[in-house]
Amino acid sequence: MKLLQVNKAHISYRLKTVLTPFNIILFIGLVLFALSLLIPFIWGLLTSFKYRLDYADNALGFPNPFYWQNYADAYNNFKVTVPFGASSATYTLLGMAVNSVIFSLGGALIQAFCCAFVAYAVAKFSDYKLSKLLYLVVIVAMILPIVGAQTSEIRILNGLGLYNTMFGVLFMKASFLGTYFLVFHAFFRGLPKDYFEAAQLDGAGNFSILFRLVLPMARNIIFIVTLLYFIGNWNDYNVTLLYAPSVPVLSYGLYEFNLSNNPDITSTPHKLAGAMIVFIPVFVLFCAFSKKLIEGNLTMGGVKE
Amino acid sequence: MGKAKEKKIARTIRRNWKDWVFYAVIVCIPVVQFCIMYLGVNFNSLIMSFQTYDVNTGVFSWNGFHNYIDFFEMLGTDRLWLTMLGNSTIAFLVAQFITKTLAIFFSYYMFKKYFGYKVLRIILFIPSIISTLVTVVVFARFVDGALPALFGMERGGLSNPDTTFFYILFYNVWIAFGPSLLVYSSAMNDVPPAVTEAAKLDGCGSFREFWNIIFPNIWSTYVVFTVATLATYFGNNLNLYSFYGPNADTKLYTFGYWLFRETELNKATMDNYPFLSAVGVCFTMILVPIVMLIRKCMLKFGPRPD
Repeated sequence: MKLLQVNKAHISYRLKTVLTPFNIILFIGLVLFALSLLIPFIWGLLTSFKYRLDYADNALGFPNPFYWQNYADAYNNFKVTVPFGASSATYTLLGMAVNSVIFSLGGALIQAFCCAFVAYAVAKFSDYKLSKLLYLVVIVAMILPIVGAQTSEIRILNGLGLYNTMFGVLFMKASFLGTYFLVFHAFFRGLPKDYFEAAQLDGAGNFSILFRLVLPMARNIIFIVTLLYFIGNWNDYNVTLLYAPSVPVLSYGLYEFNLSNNPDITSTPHKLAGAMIVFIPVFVLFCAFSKKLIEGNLTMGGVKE
Repeated sequence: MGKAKEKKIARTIRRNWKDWVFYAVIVCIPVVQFCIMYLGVNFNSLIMSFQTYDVNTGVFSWNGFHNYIDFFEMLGTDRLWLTMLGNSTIAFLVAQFITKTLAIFFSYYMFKKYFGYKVLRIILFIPSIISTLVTVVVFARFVDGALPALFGMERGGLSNPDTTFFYILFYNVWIAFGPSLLVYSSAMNDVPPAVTEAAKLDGCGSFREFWNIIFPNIWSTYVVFTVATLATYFGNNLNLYSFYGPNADTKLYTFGYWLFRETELNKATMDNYPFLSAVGVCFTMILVPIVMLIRKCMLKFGPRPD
């Protein structure tokens, strides 16, 4: 009986502290915001299955019937013609998907490992002057806003013969700058020195320690960072637009698809079907790893990323 | 010198030499990339701003300060600059005061783990993993297709020139929460639970707890985000390229959109690139001291956790 009374008191105290006007307003605001995000996507998905006359009559209701042909039309017209040497080449959705996978996965792995390697070097050999300089470079590059460098990037890539090549855009990704450097650095600095000493006593060299001890311990962070880079690269259409016009990726295909005046794909259901084709792979990845992505807690010492 | 000491020194040198080789191997590619794509690019940007480019011969030649003179002349005569100044400033203010304020309040809700926070966090994170091209299509078609059908409007908000800019701004707020929610709520997790518990026992309500305890504790994170927003003042294109490609109405132009558009349209010939480099250098020169000053002021005069 006493326990019940204590429980009741606890619940009423909890309700009193939780159900404040401030929290209620926050909750309503969040729910409205979440609905404003969900409703257009659900509407978009349903509309992508509508016949265009069905959509003209009934923009809000369910598709009647479900018209899968929009996806076939979008797939068939999801192509871009790009300059290729003196002539031109046409890429289909599959061709662009291959480029996207190479660029997104290759770029993500390069970005993640460049960051991790430099962060490890800086953390492990922190007494080296170069380490101090590299750390400073990362911090300065983060707070120093440089505007309009794309023109110069294009000229430099042209000069190196890397413009308009997959190798060129992957080379651009081999950077160690950015917040993930700090994430890796904080992780590597936090590793107990005993591990390294024990490994060294067992005769392990620097490379063995890195590949057989440190990277396996950092695999969770490497995975999350690679995944975040992958998603970023997958959605990036500027790379084709600016640096590699002859290497179209899927997101660039969607860019062309959206702006296309081809009468076969100008209707809203067609445009939405095209968008869903690009959206689905990333959404599946997100569903599979959402917990890791959101609760991954990439920490940079005191500051969490 | 004893033999043992000699051996120790030799071992140290050998180990140092091995360490240096290891160090050089793992940092060489990123460092070379940095030297070319950061130092080289920015140095070249500066050089190019004093040059002119002949499209026919493909040769860059020195041009003195002409690009800078052209830029300042255009500032005085071309009304487009005023439009871009206005739009870029509005975009910054919206990102700074609306997006950030909402993000912090929403993060507080997530941090307190109130009802439904897990589902809400996932929903709010979704736009940040989707291509802007996808969200733009869904948003634009919804605003111009579903909303007019729902409310019996004659035309949608994006196709009405009077409201287009408002809807573009709304879109940019709409998709902006994902990463900042994670960072802010993680920063809030660093607040010692004992502090919030003590405040609660003293009868501190939610808003007071947020304002007096949580916000001062996440101030340094807030400064980082403010600096990041300010740093993109001249680069923010409001996702106009995803909406319209290079064909946006000039009334919508921001500095970022104009720069990106000019770079993209001239990429095959590199025509106008020296002028664009001069504009970029000028913008950087304006922005760097402002960013540094604001950062310093915010850190000096902002609230302190103690």
